[in-house]
Amino acid sequence: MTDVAAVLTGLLIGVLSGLIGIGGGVLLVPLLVIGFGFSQQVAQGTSLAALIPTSIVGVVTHQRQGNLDARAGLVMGAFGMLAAVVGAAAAQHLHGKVLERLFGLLLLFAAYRLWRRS
Amino acid sequence: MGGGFVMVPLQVMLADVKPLRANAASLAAIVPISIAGATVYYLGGSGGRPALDLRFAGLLVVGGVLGAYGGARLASRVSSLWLARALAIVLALVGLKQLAAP
Repeated sequence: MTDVAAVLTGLLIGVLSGLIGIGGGVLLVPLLVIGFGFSQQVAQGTSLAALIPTSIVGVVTHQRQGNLDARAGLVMGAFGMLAAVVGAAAAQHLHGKVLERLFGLLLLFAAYRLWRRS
Repeated sequence: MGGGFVMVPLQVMLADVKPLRANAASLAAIVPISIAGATVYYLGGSGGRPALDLRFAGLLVVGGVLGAYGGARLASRVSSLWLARALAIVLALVGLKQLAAP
């Protein structure tokens, strides 16, 4: 039953991100925490894992359409990777409540951006 | 999370990159970022257990790929303005809830 719910959740996130061009994590993490009772850490880790194949598909699509500046992607990816390791390691040591509050701030920022853009 | 919502506006504002190209480069950067991040979550959870659910992630991807395809096709036909606004309100409410939670 949870399996069906997981696929449906993916479907919902996919439709929303396709429709309004917003990344998955910002929607997925709170859904996993509120809807499925994941801890903040496991929700964030699971969301990152789901991002791997999804972003690869996206990059291939952009590459085919000639939108990809590979150099910019590589530079941001290299620095981002280092930052991701530091951030992810820090997240393992932070208290779940602290992480939830930080994520709350991030959500407010994402909400502001989404509202401004629309 | 991958960080696209930071990388895309930064490229557009600071380097005058077109949004579509900024989006593509940001996605390319998210590939190594998400691999590195997920690896740390996998190896470094509290008590040595992986802090992620790979099986669940796989199921999400199955639905997500189908949904993204459908959503992208729908996007050219429906106005996403109110949907985006409604979603912004939901995100803000969830954000406030997470900040205010005891």
